[in-house]
Amino acid sequence: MSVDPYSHWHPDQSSGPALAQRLDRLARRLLPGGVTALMIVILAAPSGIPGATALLPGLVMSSVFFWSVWRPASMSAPVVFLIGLLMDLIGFAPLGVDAFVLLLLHGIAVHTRFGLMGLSFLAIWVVFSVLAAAACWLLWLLISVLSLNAMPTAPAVFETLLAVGIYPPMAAAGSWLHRRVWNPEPQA
Amino acid sequence: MIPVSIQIRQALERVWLPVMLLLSMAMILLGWANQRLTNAARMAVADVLSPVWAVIAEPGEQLSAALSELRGIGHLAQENARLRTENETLRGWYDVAVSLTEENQTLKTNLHWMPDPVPSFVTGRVVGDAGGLYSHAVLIGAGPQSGVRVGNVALAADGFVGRVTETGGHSARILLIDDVASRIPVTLETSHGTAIMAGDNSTMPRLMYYAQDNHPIEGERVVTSGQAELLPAGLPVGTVHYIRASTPVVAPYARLDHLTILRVFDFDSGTIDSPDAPGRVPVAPLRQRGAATGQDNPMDGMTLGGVVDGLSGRAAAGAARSSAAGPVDGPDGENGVTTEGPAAADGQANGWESGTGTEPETGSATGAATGSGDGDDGRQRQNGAGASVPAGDGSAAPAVNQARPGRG
Repeated sequence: MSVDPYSHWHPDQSSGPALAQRLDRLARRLLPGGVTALMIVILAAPSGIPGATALLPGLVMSSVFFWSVWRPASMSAPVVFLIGLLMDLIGFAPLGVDAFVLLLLHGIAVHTRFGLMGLSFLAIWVVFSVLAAAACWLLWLLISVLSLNAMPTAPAVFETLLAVGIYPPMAAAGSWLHRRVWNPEPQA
Repeated sequence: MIPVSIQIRQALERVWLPVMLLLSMAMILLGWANQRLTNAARMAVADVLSPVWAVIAEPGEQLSAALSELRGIGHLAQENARLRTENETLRGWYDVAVSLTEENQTLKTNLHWMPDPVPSFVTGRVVGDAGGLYSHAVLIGAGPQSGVRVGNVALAADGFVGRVTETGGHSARILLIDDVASRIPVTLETSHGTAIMAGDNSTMPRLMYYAQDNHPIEGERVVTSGQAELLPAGLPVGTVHYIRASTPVVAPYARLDHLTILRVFDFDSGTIDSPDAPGRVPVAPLRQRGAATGQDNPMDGMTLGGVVDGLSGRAAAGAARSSAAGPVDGPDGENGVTTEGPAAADGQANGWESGTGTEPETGSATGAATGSGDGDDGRQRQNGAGASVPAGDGSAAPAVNQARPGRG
């Protein structure tokens, strides 16, 4: 590549900070998805946490919902798809089921985000509870249909309750991260 | 990043969601249609993650061990007293067990009991929960490299846990007995009934298909049944418990929700079919040839029985030749040598010398037991088997028959 001697563009000087900035932006974009994936992996380990398997869908759903509403760029559809696929592969559920349900949740959240952002926390929680319940039952239905066997309903109810219960702490941690990571400088 | 105009980027963002939804539906169909591919993908992921999980689980285990120790310190005296009484009881049971073992041994010797094959096993740590919400399975950190194969049986310290359903490179998935997909044939020890133990995702699997005139008894032991040749018989599973009237369930001995270390046994089940016989296939046509030419067959003595005879120095060349006439008997020759002593003793003690019973194996044992002194009998049997052996080599009898008594 020949360097134009009359050019005022000096790639050597400008690429350093630009690369760092770019990496920084990439890291921020991947952070929510990465944290969610990490939670999936950690909760699958035999940690002795009671109800870890029932807690996992709720945790992932609340994470996907929260970030889809507040930072859809960081929780884009491909990221949601990969998270769902990871869940399916680790959890030995029928392949693609979690991905499908999470994508639906993500789609609803993204399309209604401007309405949701104006609501109070309590109202968002109620909306999430309804959506999470629908998602849990859709999961139950899909798994039952795909395995040609009516699954017991008790885990679905338990899963729904845990999803509803886990949202407030999830949202609190999420908004803390949101504020910290996206505005690292203290507000003067 | 590729610089694109804002319009294109927005259009792309709008397109991502439907594309991904379609892709996930395609995944559902693909996973449903090609189970083997999905299982391979799953086990690949599990292989990658199992070392990570092992590392994560380590501090948790130490923590729980430390906690239980702390809890134990609180009531050491109580614990001591309880253990002392339990020890007394167990010592009584120990004596009972020793005497019963000896009695059992004696009875088995008298009956020429075929000992069950000793299973090989590997012990693995549970590294992950491979079940999810609607199924119960665990992942252990041992795979085909350590000898774990699909269909092997997993036991915890105190009972039957499940079976290996998928294996990866160095991990294996074990479907637990409380999974909805699990159906295990069991025997009820007190009522001598049989039933199917079906998992239903609760901690206690149900009992199904028991005889209506022989209901399971509350508290009786449940062990596996060898009926389907799926499992060895007699592995302890749990005890019967009625959660409601006419709803018997099994309370498993193993704590299925807190599995840490599992032993995976290779019982090599389903090998009740005929033993694979080295030497059987090549010898069968040779016998014809040997019988036709009558003598000087270079393959004489190549069956195991003949070789063993030759080694033990008890057989003449004629005996070795005629041993080729009994191809079925060949492979068991080693057994014959090892059990010859007791078989001979018992055979004579029980007065089986006549050997005219309809059970051919008994007759064989008798032949070996009585040795060349009973040569006539052995010859008859051989001729009866259709082998064209020249009559008169009475010493053939022990050579052939000796191969068999291990079965007797």
